[in-house]
Amino acid sequence: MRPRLAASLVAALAVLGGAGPAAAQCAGGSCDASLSMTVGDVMRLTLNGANTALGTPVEADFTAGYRDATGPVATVRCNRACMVTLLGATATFGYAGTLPNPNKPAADLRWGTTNGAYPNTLGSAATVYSGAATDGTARPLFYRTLWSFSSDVPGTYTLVASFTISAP
Amino acid sequence: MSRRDAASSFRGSSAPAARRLAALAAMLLCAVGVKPAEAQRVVSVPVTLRVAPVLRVEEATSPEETARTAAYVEYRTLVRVSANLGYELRVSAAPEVAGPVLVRGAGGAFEASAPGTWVSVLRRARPCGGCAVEVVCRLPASAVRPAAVPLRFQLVGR
Repeated sequence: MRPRLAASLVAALAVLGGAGPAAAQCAGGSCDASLSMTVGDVMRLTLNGANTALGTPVEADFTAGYRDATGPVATVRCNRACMVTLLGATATFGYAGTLPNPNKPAADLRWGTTNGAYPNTLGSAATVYSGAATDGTARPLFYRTLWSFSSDVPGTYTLVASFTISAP
Repeated sequence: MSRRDAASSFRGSSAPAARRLAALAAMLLCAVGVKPAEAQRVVSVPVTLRVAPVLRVEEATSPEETARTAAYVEYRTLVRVSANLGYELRVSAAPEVAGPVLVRGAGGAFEASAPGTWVSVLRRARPCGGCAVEVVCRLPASAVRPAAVPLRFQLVGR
């Protein structure tokens, strides 16, 4: 009994581990051998820019209340259904300047995947891509930053945008 | 049972054992297969904004007469300004104005202003968008009523 159980266990582990041929079944002059392999989730997200500079707003931008900029292109590859979301790493921008930190909200940075439409903000997670397995779906990103005279003091603002690719 | 017998016994029952093994393996593989994937990767990209000082005098309303004496006529105008930092509003008499112009300064007193000489009207420590600032000036009573406020405005960041 013990050898039988041990052999079964070894064979099961070999199958589960994708370790190659399991015990061959031979009869007469032929043998059937099974091969197995394990394919995990393979996902890849590529951005064509490591840093996005949204420019320096001028008076007209403050008057309009916003300034638009082109963001990176996110390219998604996955061997199963997957999704990509975008969210600011913090609730507010970091500030470097000589004035008190105005704590510019991450929600002041809006974005969309169509030029001229900015339905999402970096203040809450939103979907860049969601769909079936794909061998390279490109999603261009377009940013709109909101500007206000009364809150956006001179200085340099930085926010980390976190793209998360996951297989739900 | 000898070792040889045990081996023979195992070989003899290889078909049922293989079926049990396949069933076991299939069951285990299914269990792995239905487990939700937890794969997740995060890519972080910094977004940078640079904001320069931006100051703007947007408009000045037509002068409104608020007082008149034998010596002068007092006018009031509202100047709308925007600045993304603290600012100071200064005014100076326009070059075309004849005679002395008095402007009420930040301290409340009227100060003489000649073309090129600036009088501080308001100092504000905070940014402001579209704020109205009252500017009061006095022109000689003999002067023709101006259609526009006879002042030049200057906005300076602080």
